[in-house]
Amino acid sequence: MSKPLPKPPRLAELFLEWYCHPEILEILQGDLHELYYRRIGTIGLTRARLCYYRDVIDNCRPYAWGKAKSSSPNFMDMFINYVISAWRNMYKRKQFSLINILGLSIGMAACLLILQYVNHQKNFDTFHTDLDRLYRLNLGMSEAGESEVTYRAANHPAAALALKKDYPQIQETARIVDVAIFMGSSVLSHKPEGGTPITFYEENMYVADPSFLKMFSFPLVNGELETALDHRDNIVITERLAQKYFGEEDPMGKTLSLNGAINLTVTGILQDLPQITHFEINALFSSHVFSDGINNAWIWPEFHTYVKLLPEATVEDVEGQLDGFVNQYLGDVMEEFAIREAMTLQPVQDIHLHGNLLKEIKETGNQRTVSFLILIAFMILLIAWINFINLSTSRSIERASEVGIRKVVGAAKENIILQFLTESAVMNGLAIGFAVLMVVLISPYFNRIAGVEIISGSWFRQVLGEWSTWQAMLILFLGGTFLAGLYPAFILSSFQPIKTIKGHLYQAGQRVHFRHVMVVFQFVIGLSMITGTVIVFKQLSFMRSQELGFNMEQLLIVKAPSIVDSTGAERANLFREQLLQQAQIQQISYSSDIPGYNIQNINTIKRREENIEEGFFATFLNTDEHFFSTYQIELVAGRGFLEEIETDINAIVLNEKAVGLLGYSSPDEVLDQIISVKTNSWHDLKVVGVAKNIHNQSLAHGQLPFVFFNGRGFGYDYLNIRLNTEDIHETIANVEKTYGEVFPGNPVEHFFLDDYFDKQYQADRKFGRVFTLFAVLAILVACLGLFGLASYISSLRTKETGIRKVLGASTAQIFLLLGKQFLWLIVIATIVGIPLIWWGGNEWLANYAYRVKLNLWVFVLPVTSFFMMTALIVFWQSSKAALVNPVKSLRTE
Amino acid sequence: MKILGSFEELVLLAVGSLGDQAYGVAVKDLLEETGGKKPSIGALHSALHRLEEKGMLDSWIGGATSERGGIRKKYYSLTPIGKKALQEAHDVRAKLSINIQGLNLG
Repeated sequence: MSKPLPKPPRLAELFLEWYCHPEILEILQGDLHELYYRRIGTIGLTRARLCYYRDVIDNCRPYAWGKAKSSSPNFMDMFINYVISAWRNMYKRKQFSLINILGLSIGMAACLLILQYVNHQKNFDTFHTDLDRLYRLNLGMSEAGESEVTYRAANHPAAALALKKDYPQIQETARIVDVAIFMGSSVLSHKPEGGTPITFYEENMYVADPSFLKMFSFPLVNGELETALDHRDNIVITERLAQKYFGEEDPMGKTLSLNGAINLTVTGILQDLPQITHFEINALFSSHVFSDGINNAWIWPEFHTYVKLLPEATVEDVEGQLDGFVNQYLGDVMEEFAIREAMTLQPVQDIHLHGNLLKEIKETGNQRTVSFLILIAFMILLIAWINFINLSTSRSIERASEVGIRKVVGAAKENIILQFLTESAVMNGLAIGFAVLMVVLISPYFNRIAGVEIISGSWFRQVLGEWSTWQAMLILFLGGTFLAGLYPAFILSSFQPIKTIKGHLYQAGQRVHFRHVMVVFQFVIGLSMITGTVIVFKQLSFMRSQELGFNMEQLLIVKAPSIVDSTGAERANLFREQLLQQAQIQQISYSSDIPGYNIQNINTIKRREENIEEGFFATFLNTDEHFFSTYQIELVAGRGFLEEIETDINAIVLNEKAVGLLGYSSPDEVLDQIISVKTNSWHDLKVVGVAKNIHNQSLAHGQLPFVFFNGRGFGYDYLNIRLNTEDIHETIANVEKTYGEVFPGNPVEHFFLDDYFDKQYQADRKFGRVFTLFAVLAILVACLGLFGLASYISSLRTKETGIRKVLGASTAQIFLLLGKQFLWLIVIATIVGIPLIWWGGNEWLANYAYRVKLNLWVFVLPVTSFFMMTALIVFWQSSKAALVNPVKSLRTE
Repeated sequence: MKILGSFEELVLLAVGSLGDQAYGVAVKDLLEETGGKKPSIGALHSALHRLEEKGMLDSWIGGATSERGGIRKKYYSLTPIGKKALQEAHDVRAKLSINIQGLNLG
């Protein structure tokens, strides 16, 4: 045979096959091929191919189109029928439907709430223009030879300038540094013409490079962005501050004075910063106040440094050169202080969730918390889906005859599956509607406990205004419809009509087994969440109940005056003497810092004779002579500072931790020893006493080595007043009055140390509350499912219990009979759950330096309450069967 | 009476005259030979399909032959309705044309 002729053009063939009805295709194709092969002989291949194309296109006429014809002509009718029967079924079994829909909608609502929270967290700092080019220059520090690197959010003053000078890839750099670094507490005051000065303590005031305002998108409502920080006496304040000091007046060009000494001109009004930024700024000063000495300093890593790259630069390129940069500028410093430093660039939008370094401007979020919440929301949804699956399959017997009839009349398995999927879609659709309603209602409460501030718009807009919410709703709807609907649909559609219509109803053991596994799974999740809540709150109360090493009851803290002149020391003594005359006041002391935050005054100390490598970081606290008695810190050896001993200016008191790290075996051994401290150079200090360890920070942190020193009247920021009174209000009023008299012009700001200290646990409490909310939701959904299942099972066994009662079973026996299987499931869930919770709980507790010891007692409350709850639900549902008169339950047939 | 288009009439005549060999390409060939008319294959198939729906043609699927690489043919034949329709069409023509001078239609 000669070689086969070339086939007709492939594209035309494909087109033909696509549009042509399968029945017609063969005939038509046959004719077309016959013509084609004949034409090759008569008019040549090329023209034959062209003719083939023409013919195929020519044949594309309605009679040949086949797609629509292949589907069942009454598809729409059947679909409408499915919807109708879904509706009727739901209506007929109201309780069952309600439980299903309610459970689903709670699960969905939890997901939507979490999504909203996650969105809020992810939106931090995303509003800046050129976001992808903004980075923060983080500084990593470690002691020589140690691998542990501590990263801080602030850098050396000179880093920004050097970086910009050396690297052409960098478009701009900007630094901001907290004013508090320079002057402790700061007071702003405005003196209106002819009025009394308006004076307040202010926090979150920063000295900023002029480039800062251009780099970040914080709009000025008044003033020129370009020039607002161009002069050393410029100040930019927020709208809130403007309102506070100037009221209705126009603040622009007016004078604000800092600590009564420096006069500043308002050159810009900054729009109040939104919550969704890692900055917290009330006022900005110009960095022109810095001398070249500061600007070129490679010490003092307190300057938050930001970098904007050129559009064509890559961050990898710049970051790769940072090691060389650090070595070039910091080589000497690192050697001198025996430390290692490294710099990294962190995208500004990652700071909120991936920051949490030392020296963050404000508290950052936590990626782990966010992930954990996502997991919990998913678990709740899973519980709801399991409810749906369990309830639908357990009801299969009721639906069996319907399925049987449908099949006899001609429904195929696919049709039945489609029917049940339609039912599932209807339920999920209703559920998503309810879920949105719930979210709108819960949102305000949730946002409050989760600490989310919504700036504008109604709750409703907040929920539905986000495109991602709609996406999530669609995913929840489809996920629910298919994931939860598919299994019951397959089970129900697999019934054989003959058996079901004849009444051969079987409860396949395997399926019951599957349902039990599901219930155990739900119980485990529910139990974990209750126990988790218990552990969180146990840890919280544990931390708050521990001895701190000092007494913070009735300890009033007043900020030391910022507006002072040469008489400051005298006035301080006067204030002390005047207050001590009052019976309600036990003791007063001055100090540079107070417990409740991470004290930043850290220096290297060592024994005088040792090398610097043996040294370690210790926290320095400047105190007066009355500090230990005011705080009631116990001294285990030696003495505190004494006014009459002149040399105490070079004396220090260590805490036990520092003594241990220095390598002394007992506190007495260290007395009168000389310790070297590295500040700018080495200083020798004599140890005069040893104090007990204190918890300076929350118990999430470990105890630190402390060095107390005596500033002899200088460098105090706080007044610590030990009260002994029932009448707090009058005492405070007295303190305020005396303060006003002794330190005129200074605003008085005070708080109780215990309240202040407690603020450190705010994040934990927030986490605990959010966790509780979701635990409650999870339990609610699980209980709904249990309720439905118990009610169904007891209704199935109505007749059985009737007969048992007739034969002499007691009510108690009936309860036991019906409740037994659920109680077994709880027992199994407890056995499975405890190791899981044990592991997870310890994992979470590992974040805390001081933590509760988990023991089996933690589980007692959750397990018993779970047990009780289940028992109650089962009891309630069984009572219908157990208490009813057998005459009634057996009468109908 | 069902209206018969002029192309449909030609197709019916061709199918009728081909006997049991009337399939798409054969009908097309015959029309080309006798009438000089070159129907497109699309128009032809469409017409065949339409006539079948009107009940004037009957069809069956023939056996596979090597001629078309094993692809089967669909054969058509006239139904009584089809024959009647042809007859009627012819009658109408005859009646009308009889009065035309110089025309011999036999």
